[in-house]
Amino acid sequence: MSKNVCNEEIFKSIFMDLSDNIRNFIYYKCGNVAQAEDLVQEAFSKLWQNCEKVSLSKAKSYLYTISNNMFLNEVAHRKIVLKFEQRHHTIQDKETPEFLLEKEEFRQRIEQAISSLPENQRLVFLLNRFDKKTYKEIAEDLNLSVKAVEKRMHNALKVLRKVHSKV
Amino acid sequence: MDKETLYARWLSGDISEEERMALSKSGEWADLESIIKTVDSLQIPKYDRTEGWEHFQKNHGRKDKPKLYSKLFSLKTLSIAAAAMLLIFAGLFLFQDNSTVINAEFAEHTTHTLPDQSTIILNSGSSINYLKDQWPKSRSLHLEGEAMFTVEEGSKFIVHTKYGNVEVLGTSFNVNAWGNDLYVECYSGKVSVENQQDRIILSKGEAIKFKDGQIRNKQTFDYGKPSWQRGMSRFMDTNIFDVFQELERQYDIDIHQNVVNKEFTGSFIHGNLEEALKQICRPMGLKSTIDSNRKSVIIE
Repeated sequence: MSKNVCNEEIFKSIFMDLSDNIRNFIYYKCGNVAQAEDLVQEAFSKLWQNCEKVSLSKAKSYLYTISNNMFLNEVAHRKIVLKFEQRHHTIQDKETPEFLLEKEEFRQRIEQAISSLPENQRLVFLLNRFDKKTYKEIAEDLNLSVKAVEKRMHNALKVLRKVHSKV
Repeated sequence: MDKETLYARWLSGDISEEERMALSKSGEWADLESIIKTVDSLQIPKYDRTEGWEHFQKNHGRKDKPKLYSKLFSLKTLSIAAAAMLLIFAGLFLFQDNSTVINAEFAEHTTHTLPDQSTIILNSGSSINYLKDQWPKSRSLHLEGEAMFTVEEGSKFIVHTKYGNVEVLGTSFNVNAWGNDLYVECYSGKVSVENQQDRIILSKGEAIKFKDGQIRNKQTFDYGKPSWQRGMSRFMDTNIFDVFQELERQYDIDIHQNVVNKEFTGSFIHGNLEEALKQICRPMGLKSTIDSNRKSVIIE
């Protein structure tokens, strides 16, 4: 059975499989949803154009490499501001208005702190917390050693800890 | 273990007792915990893959490829099954040329009208067989698999299955005769279900299961159609291998598995393979992998 990337059904399954990973990957780098989603389209477009030269097993690393290159080529001298939303939670009795306000302020500080992390650290941190990837998976995706991933993670947490202790 | 990766290893649970105690004492543990708790209460803007794909297709012009069903393959296997069934029932019917065989292919439901205007809807992979000439005076047929019957009033109507017979006088009911079980739901009128040892009468809203030749308690239900007619397949104390087989029939896939035999109670939906696999695998602690050709699945 041919595992040809040029086959529409196979290409679609690659898209369904990897498009949100690539989108998040770029989003964590640039903090801009529209930009990230545009780059996803462009990266897959390149894959489609070159489908004869890329094998199925290499498609994932091809997409990461292409999208990263496209990101670097874009004019990206803005300050990175990642936006997070609060997940749903039920309000419990001991959550007074003051407590909620404090929680909200802390959340904003964490948000800013994550956005201001150096890209290396920010990427690893977000891939682990939001994409739920293990250090091993992140190492594979980014072509690093597990130890390098752990170092970046450690440094990210160190920075966030500084923010916390400013309370 | 080294200091440069300490917090990362704390997070993944990969730290020594010593480190554990040091972090607790210094208050670092508590700090880190509250940071992670806050971070985990956040989420990033969601991405809709289906929308993304539609966008992509729009920009790249869709190549409409004709769908090639391997009709030759299906016909061959079905005729083998039909031939086998006729042989099995040769002892009960005299083998005659005018035996009618109706099949439902995998991932399809087939409707058939009997000579007395009663109707049958066959679930994927099921088949029935009857002697047209005997109808409507004597209404009898053989079922392999699962079908929903709507029977006109008339003479005794009998459905023969491997593990028991279902007799009616004009009613609607569902017979599920896969594996070693016989399961019947009655939607209107009355139905008699019997095997060698037992016989039971069902009224509207009642169901019975014969498992391994033993009759189980009568159950009640309040829906008007069997679950497979409402877009899902439901199971109660069913052998997991039978569940996999139904999955194969509904989605027309091959499942490769090395799972220990267990009983499954629950359901899976039709039309969404990923979701269906989740519905089966999660409660059973199993993992599934769909091949990129979407024709075979590995479950372990």
